[in-house]
Amino acid sequence: MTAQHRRVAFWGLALVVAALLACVLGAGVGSTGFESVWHVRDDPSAWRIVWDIRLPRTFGAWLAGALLGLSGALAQGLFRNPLADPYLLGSASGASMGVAFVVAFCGASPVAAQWLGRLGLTGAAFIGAACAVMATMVLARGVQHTLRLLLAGVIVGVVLSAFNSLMMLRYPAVMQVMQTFILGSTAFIGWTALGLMAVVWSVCALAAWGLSRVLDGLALGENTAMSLGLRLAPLRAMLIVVLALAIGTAVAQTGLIAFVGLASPHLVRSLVKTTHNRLIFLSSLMGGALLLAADLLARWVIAPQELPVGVLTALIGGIYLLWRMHAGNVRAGGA
Amino acid sequence: MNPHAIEARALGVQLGGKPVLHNIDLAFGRGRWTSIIGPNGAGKSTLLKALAGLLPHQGEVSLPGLPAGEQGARAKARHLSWLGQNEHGADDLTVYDIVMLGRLPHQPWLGAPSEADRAAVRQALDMTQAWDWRERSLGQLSGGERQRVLLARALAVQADVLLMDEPLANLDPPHQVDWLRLVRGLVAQGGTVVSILHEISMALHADDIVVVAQGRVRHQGRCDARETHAAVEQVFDGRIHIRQVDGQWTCLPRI
Amino acid sequence: MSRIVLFLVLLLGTLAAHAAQVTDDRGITVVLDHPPQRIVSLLPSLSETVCGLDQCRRLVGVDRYSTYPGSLRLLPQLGGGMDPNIEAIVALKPDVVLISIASRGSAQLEALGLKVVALKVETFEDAQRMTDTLGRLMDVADAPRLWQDIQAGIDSAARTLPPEVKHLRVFFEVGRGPYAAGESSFIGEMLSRLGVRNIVPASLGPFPRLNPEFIVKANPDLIIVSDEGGADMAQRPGWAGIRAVRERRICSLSPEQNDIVSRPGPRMAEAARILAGCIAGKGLSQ
Repeated sequence: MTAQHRRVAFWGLALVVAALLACVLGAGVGSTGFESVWHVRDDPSAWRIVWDIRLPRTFGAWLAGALLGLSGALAQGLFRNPLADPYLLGSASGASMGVAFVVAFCGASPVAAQWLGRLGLTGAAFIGAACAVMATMVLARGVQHTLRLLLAGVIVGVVLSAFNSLMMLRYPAVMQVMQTFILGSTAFIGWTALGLMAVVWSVCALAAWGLSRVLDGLALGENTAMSLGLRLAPLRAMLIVVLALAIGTAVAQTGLIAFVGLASPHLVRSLVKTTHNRLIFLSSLMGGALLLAADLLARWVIAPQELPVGVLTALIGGIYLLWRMHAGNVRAGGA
Repeated sequence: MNPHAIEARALGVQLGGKPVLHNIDLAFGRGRWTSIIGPNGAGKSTLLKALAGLLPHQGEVSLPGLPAGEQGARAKARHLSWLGQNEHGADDLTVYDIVMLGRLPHQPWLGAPSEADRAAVRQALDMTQAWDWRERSLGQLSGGERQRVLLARALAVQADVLLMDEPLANLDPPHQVDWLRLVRGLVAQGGTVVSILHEISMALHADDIVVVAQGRVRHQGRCDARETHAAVEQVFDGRIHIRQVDGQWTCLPRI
Repeated sequence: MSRIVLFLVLLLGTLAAHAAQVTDDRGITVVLDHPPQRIVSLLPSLSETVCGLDQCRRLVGVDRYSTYPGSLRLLPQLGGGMDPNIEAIVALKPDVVLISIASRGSAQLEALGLKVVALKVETFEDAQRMTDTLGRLMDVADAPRLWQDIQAGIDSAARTLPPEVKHLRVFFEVGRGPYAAGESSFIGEMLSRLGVRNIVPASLGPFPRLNPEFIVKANPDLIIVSDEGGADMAQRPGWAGIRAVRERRICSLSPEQNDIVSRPGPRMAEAARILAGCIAGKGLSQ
């Protein structure tokens, strides 16, 4: 056991160090590529840019990735499916619907505009995600059967997606905003958004850690989990709430960033095998590192232009996984 | 003290609207090993799940051995351990972690494993000769090795009552004998074991046999009684006969 | 005498051979026996230009985004530029189909035997070429006059602005991202004609997705944005310090204005007037 614990500790530390390094780097990556923060000290307007835009954006990228990694581990544990990603409960389509509604009806009436202005796209995305997850749970009539939950999630996702497309046809203005939303971006994360994400991450991480026993039990099968004294229905409902909260917050702030939720648990498992109480944290750290690295590259490569960060997360995560798969095959001979 | 470890009264189960178990009355003796046998599709697995409380059922299942004050799910889980058939395991967890999951009913919700937990896991892995692979992940093991690990998980619960569905799946003969010895040891210490076995010769080593066919109990009796043997032969349409070989009751095909 | 005969023969030959021949922007030469009477247009700029050349009556079907002039709304809608309803188009039996070069429908339509003219309409130069091509296609006599009128309108809009505007630095946001209209885009060209400076140089392409730091650093004097984006600009982290945001020099364009400003076509003069009004009203220091 100690060997395993040592590996867990090593990788946890490695991911934290990587994140810190990336943050330091991120503080220097601006619209002219990399410029050391030290040089900028004396220039007040440049310092303002670092303080107002670059720092919250860098930390925000890590937090969003951490939330996505956490949600990914939760989703894969909940559905006992390594191909599950946190968007499976319809949260992605729900968030898009929220955004579409706000954009389409923003100017409808002064009252509506005022409400929606205060709510903002962020709030709308979060509410949309939450409503979609609730619809999934209602459709699945509770959380009893994993398969039904999965199916309901897919149905809600597909139906809402169709509505989205209709909205885009009817209100072309929606299409523009949706494009940015779907590709994902950390461009507008400020200190308040950062604070919100930090709070949500702390709450969700703690709750997930507390519920990690359930996920471990579920890994052995539903019947075995029940025979071990786990009351699956209420515990699964709690897990879904945590999942919805985490993914809703992440999506609201940064749009639909693909792959981080799906890949982070896999990346962790390729490094060390452990139970969920540690997997959740490691997956979160991995997600943060992944998204932060991708965001750095997105800002740096063609500065002052930006690449969509979702493209880079898929590239980085995908290439690494391919390499691991290849190495694993060569070593184990297909075992 | 009630001589029974588990009692079922008027037990009925419906799956998908169809009745699978009809009005079953059973009592399993404490400190005895009972084998449940029957043809395919008789409802044996369903019966075991109902006894373990994993399925909604009509009628009543009670555990007389359970102290009156402890009636919650966790108390019951400490008292009764269930091992399913073909349960998929978490291929990514190590053997040690999986067996440690058997200690869930004993661990406080947010606690780390205690000395007692570690000792129980060690003992369970020793009993199934799986201690040497404790750091390997489940996915790397063969079918038989995997079964032994899952068995160890069920043993780690250290429950008074052990319900096992096809525990000998994928086990080679030497390990089947090991399992036999293990069960005998548990029963000698006062535990109760109920196992579904389709290896009739193995099942005949138990203390009692329950014969199930088409969702009903055809016979319940001691393993060495002639009526029991007759009931077993009859439920399989007389295509087997039970003979004594080297002092053991064995099931031979009637060709 | 022989020279006159030669000239007459050539003239008759030219008239008899083909009444309409144009080379579209794919380089394909489309030949029609007679000027097209039934035209389907799948791009708003093309629809507007057809109507601008006074040939609105020849349109038998348009895409769902061609909303100007209002009479076009009464025509059958044939899907979008990117997703045209091929069957419906074929059912209308058009003489020619006008389509964007970016659309994939051209190959299908041509395979079904229709004549397709695919045009690229992204810059001023494209707009001029488009007007010219359509004019020749429909055999409109005074087609060049349309372009001259448009240019005159733009110039007069530019003249309404005082000379100080040449110091104005403008940021035009086309969408959340933030996506900017650079110097090399159509909107950028219009702004250049009006004499203001764009903070996004041509080297970054027509519609780059920018790092918000670039905009904050550039500190534009005037920001022009479509309606939805303008509301929360002050809330964006770091943007409150931008001169244009601080002094509330932000122009919000309504959806209709946005349409006019972003479509190269006959309404370019009106686009210039809208932008000039915006520059004069909000751009100059109060």
